[in-house]
Amino acid sequence: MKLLKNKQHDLYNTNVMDLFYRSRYCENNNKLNGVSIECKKSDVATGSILKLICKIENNKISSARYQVYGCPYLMASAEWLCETVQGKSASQLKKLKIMDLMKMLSIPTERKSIILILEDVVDGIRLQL
Amino acid sequence: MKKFREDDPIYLDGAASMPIDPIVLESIITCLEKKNNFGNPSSMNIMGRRAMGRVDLARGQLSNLINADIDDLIWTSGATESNNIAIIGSARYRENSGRHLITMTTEHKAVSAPFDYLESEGFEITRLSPDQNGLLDMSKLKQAIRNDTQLVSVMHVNNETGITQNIAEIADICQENQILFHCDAAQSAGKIKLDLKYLPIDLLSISSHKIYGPQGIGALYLKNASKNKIIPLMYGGEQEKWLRPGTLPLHQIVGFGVAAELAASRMDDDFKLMKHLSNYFLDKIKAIPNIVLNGSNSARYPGIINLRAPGVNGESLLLMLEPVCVAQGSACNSKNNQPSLVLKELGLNDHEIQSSVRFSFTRNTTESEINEVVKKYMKAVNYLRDISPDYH
Repeated sequence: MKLLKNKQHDLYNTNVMDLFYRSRYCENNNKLNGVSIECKKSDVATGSILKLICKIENNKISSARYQVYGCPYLMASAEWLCETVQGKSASQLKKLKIMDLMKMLSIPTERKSIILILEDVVDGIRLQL
Repeated sequence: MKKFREDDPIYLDGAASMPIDPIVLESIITCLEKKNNFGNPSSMNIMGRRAMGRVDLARGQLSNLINADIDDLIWTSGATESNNIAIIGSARYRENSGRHLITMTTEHKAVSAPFDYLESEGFEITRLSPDQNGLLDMSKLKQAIRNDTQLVSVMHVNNETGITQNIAEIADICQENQILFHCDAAQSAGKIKLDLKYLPIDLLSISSHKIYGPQGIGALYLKNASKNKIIPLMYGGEQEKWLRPGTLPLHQIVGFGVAAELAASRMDDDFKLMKHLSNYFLDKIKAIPNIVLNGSNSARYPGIINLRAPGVNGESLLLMLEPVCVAQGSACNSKNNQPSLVLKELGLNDHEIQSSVRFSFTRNTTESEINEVVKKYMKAVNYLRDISPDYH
């Protein structure tokens, strides 16, 4: 008889775990010099806050960093966002499909506000570009 | 950040579930392995009778732990089921005499949910808030009692904060007013001395896996159980005086019995250890700025510590602390992303609740583990505060 294999189950999927622990683009309070533009958005209900800080060269984002207060899904999302926006212009930012993160990170529906924060932050940056 | 090593956890989540004691494990394995040990305790044949003998031994071990009559214990699947049978079963039995019940706002969901259900059946529920230390104000309890009050249910040790209610005083008040008193003792039975020959408690819920026994088994103490003053929630057999039908899970009951006996013999030493670990932990934590203990320190079971770190998201903190296993809120309620009602009742706002984490020790916890945990906690708290846009 063939036994069913135990499927690894976790609250956070491997994408969340990888991005959360990587935190390559995370910026602490002491290293914010030389910033070009920034945008901070929050969700009152959950208390989550995301601040995106971007350096601009030739009307494109040359590098991005974030500061964050929130759950592991938001921290992982912020990490993904920084990687994704680099090299992008305002028009390219407009085409970003942030909603795809819901699936990629298996974000629970009740935490959809994370996506809204990200969309607001990207919009805020785009309008300054 | 360094990813955790899954094979090397430090377990500080004893309030959720204790590791099984090796002696308990051995007793369970013996039950499952030996070829003549699997009889159904309800069977009349030799193997069934042997099995029932083991069940009776376990019942004796558990009754010794709380100094209760051996006939007043009913096996259940755990404290949640015990709470349901006690609250719903006794309220329904006495509903012709009155439909008013009293509980606290800081109860575990296994108690608050049965009360919510009874409310939907037309019972009137008074939910008393604690004082700022998390304790029940006895004058509030006395004021809440009415002529038609049938039951008071208050937990002994709170699973999130360790705050310990004065159940002797509550039991006396209930006895004076001829009201049933139910106590959810899932976090205290086996850790704090309970003498039911002297404490006038009518119903007491007990859990096995909180005292180093197996999961999936618990018990309900029901004073004068043979008088059957409870309406069962399930039907289908005469086991446990018709109150809890179903085949008795022999290996779990045997393990629970051994765990109860060990708890009785180690209770004083265990309590001293918890007190020592608690003092040691809180002393070390002082090195981290702006960390607050949630709830009263004086009326707290020392094995449970609930700390908040303003400016830190507790869920991210939990993940950063891995492989340290700690908890945010109750384990039975931790995935729904709702702020803890227990901490809310202590006056904490949603952000303060979100920044709170529970540490709970086991008999195996060591000072060196605490040193490691405090080191990791300090590093994680400092990091999360450092990257927070608003914490300066």
